[in-house]
Order: sequence, then C-alpha cells, then structure tokens
Amino acid sequence: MGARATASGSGRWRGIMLPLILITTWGIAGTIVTSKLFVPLGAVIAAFSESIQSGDLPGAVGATVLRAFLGWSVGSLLGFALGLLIGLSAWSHRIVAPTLHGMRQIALFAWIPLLSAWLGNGEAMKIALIALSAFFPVLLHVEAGCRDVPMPFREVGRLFAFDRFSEILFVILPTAAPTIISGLELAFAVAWIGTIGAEYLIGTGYMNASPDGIGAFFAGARENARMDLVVVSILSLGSIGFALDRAVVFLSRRAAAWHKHSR
Amino acid sequence: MTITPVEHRQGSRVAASPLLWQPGALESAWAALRRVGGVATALALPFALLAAWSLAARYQLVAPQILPAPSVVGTTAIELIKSGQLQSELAVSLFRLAAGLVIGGASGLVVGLAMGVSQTVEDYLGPTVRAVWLVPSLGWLPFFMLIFGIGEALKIVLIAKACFLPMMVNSFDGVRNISPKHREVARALELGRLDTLRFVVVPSVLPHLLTGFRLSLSKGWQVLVLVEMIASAAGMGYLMTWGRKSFQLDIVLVTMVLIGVVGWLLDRAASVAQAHATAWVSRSSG
Repeated sequence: MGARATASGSGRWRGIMLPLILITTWGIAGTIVTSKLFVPLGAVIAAFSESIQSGDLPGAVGATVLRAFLGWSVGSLLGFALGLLIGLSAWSHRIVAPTLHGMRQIALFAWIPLLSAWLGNGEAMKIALIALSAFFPVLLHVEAGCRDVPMPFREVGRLFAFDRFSEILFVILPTAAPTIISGLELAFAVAWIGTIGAEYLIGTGYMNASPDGIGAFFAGARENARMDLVVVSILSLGSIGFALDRAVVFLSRRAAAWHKHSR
Repeated sequence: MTITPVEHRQGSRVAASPLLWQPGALESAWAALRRVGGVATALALPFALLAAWSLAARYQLVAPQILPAPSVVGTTAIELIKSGQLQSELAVSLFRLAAGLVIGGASGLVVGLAMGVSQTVEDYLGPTVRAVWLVPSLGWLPFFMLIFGIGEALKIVLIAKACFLPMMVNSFDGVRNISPKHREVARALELGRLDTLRFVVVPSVLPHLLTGFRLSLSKGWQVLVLVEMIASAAGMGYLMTWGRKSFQLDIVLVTMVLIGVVGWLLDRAASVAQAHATAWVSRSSG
C-alpha cells in the first residue's frame, strides 16, 4: 500500500494542508464545543504523555509487537512448510489444497468462538489466532513461488544431476524467494490486524484473563468511555502498524537485494 | 490448434497401430477420468477428518461440549433452517453488507475518480485519506462505538469504511491507467466529451472498478462478521457468539461453515460477473 510519493514539491506542501486545517479546527473547536464525545486536542496530548509516563502505553506496545512477531513466526513457518509441500508435490497438492482453500474462506475472526473453546482465553489462543492469520498468505505465496519456477531453471538443475533436496535448495527456493518474501510481508500486515483483534476480543469482557497489549488498552479505554485514550490508541495503532510495515518491507528488500543483481 | 511435429509423429504411430478408437476419444475419456479422480482426491482429506471426528465423538475421546459429533452438527443445521432462524439471521447480515457496500463503495468510487481525474484533488486529499485508511477497521471500532452507539448505524458505517478503500484505490488506478494512446485516438477521431467517456474512459476504467467491487465485497463480509460478533443482537456473527456463550459448539460450527460458504459464493458471483463484463479485455488485448 504505502503513500504514493508526489512528484512535485508543491504536491507535498498541498498534502499537509488538509491535516493542518483539520488539526486547527480541532484545536479551535475544543474551546467552543463541550460534549463528552468530543475530545479537545489538548486533552489527547495530555492523555498521550500521561500514558507514556505511567508506562501503560509503552508496555502495551511492547507486548503487542512481541506477540505479533511470535504469532507471525509460528504461522509463517507452518505456511512455509505446507506451501512447500503442496507447491512441490502434485499428489499432496491434490489431497491437501482443496481442504486448505475451503478453510481459507472462513473469516479470520469467525475462528475465535471455536478456538477459544479449545484453547481457552490465554496466550496460546492469541498466538494461535495470529498464526492462523499469517498462515494463509504465506501458504499461497510459497505455493505459487514453487510452482512458477521456469522450466529452463529446473533443467539446469537436472543437468547438474541434483537430487531432489539440492534442487529445492539451489534452484527452487532461490527462484521463488521474491514471491515468498512478499508473502511474508503481506502476512505481517495481516498478522498485525490479527494481533490487535486477538487482544481486543480475547481476554476482555465476559472472557476474563490478564489482558495486555494495545488491543486490550483500547478495549479498556472504550469500556471506561475515555475518549481521549481511545484517540491515543487509534493514533498509536496506526502509526506503529505503519512503522512496522515499513520496517518489514525494508528488511525484506535488503534480504532480497541479491535477487535484482542476479538477473 | 496447430499440429507440432511431435504430435504429428504420435498421430501417425497411433494410426498405424490397429486401434479401434480415435486418439481424441481416448484423451477425453482420460480427462473425464482425471476430473473424477481429482474430485475424489480432493474429498479424501475432508472425509478422513470427518471420520476421525465421528470416531472421536463416538468413543468420547473429547468432551461433547468441546467437540460435538458431526451428526449433532447436522441435526442442528437442519433445525436452524427449519425454524427459519438461519435464513433470517443471514438476511439481516446480507442487508447490512449491501447497505455498507452501497454507501462505502459509492463514496470510494467518487473520491477515487475525483483523485484520478484531478491532480489538484489528489495532492490535497490523497495523503490524508491514505493515512486515515491505514488504521484497520478494527481500530475504528471503539471510536465509532462511542460516537454511533452499538446500533445499526455502527455496523453499516464500519462496513462502509471497509468497502471504501478498495473501491477508491481501484477507481483511482483505473483512471490513471487509461492509455494515452487511446486518448489520442479519441482526439484524432474528434470524439465529443460524452463519446470519449462512452468509448474510452468507461471501458478502460470498468475492469478496475469491478476488481475494486470484488475486493470491497470480501472485505465487507469479513468486517461484518467481526462487528456482529462484538456488538449485535442479530446476524450471523451474533448467532455464532451466542452459540459460544451458551457452549453450543454445534451452532458455532454450523455458522462457521455458513460464513465460509456465503463468503465463497459472494466472491464467486463477483468474479463471474467480472469475467462476463470484461470478457472483451482478453479478446482485445490478444
């Protein structure tokens, strides 16, 4: 996704106009409007610095990021293994793929009632949901990457008399790497949403556990009708998600930099 | 189909051998057999899982509260359909989806087209709109809840929000990707504004719009399930959460399957419509 860079300098200047107008209006309106639902700009800034100083927000962010990476790793590993299996073996593709594609149709959060009955409302459940969200994008990309290896490449492998293992290691995986990496990027974006959802939906309300993370922070802010904290949560949710997404894309571009040169 | 030397050689060999059937007949019979075999292998794993599930339930390897027997799930499904509850919940859900799709899709279309046509609009609006829509729908939920309460408006607003971005991005891309050559042809033919719209703009934008519509539909369905699970007294998501709260996992399983099937059908319908409406694309580009 990412913002499209505008070509001209004036374009960038124009892009700041609307946010500036909105923030100014917000600031001015704060002195006039008095409603429980309307949060003045100052209150949000105060709530922001307060929750940073108390350590609530940094702690929540840390827990969420850790959880997102853990669930992403688990889901990606499983997706990678199964994707490799159905991408490389026609037989296992025929047997396993239809079932997996059928399961993919179920919306992510629709798994929560069933999984929470099996796994409880603790950490295992949250990680399972995040892993599930990361699983399918990785699976699909690994499968596609393995299937789309051009025939000449495979022939070179045969020329070297590679056995199956060496063929996978030296021919198929390097060729499929860009597709697999973009699958991992996409999986992280999905896993981020999955993490917030897991924290927001599991271990709050009627299902009591020890909630932590931005999602739980968010749910707590709403439950106490603290609109200022809700706005703080939305802003930190968006900006941290964006920053992490950029970081993952940057790292993966670094990791796949060789691929451009090898062409 | 052109005959390559290899096929030609094979054909002559077949003709030389005393075979009674045509080689084409053999191939089509083989293809039909393969298709049947493909369906059979595709169903093997679900059946194996179903068998394991029923065995586990019969010998009570897991508590029935945690995993009800398949037969119980089937009976529950039939009961829910007979009593009409499943249909009415589904109708509620689909109505919300339609309302959200119309509102969000239409505004996404307008904003996307405006940004595509005018660089000025894009410069002013683009960065803000993209930044705002970077926050996932889930992030807006508590905010919208405080503003709209947990009534019908909340669901429709959230679905509309989810449908907005795919439609906006795709209609923007559609306008931006109109080939300059096509515009030049229109100018050379001295087409009027309306005719340019009719013969150049609409045909090049349409495929993008349909892609946007399809993405909006699947995004909207996902968000619908989410919002109904959190705050609703009707609809698929509600039925599901209700089944979970009363520990009737048979209801949960029935709704899960239905959510999957309906989601798949919606996507299928949209992609068939897309293929019909844009069949000329592959023809004209070929």
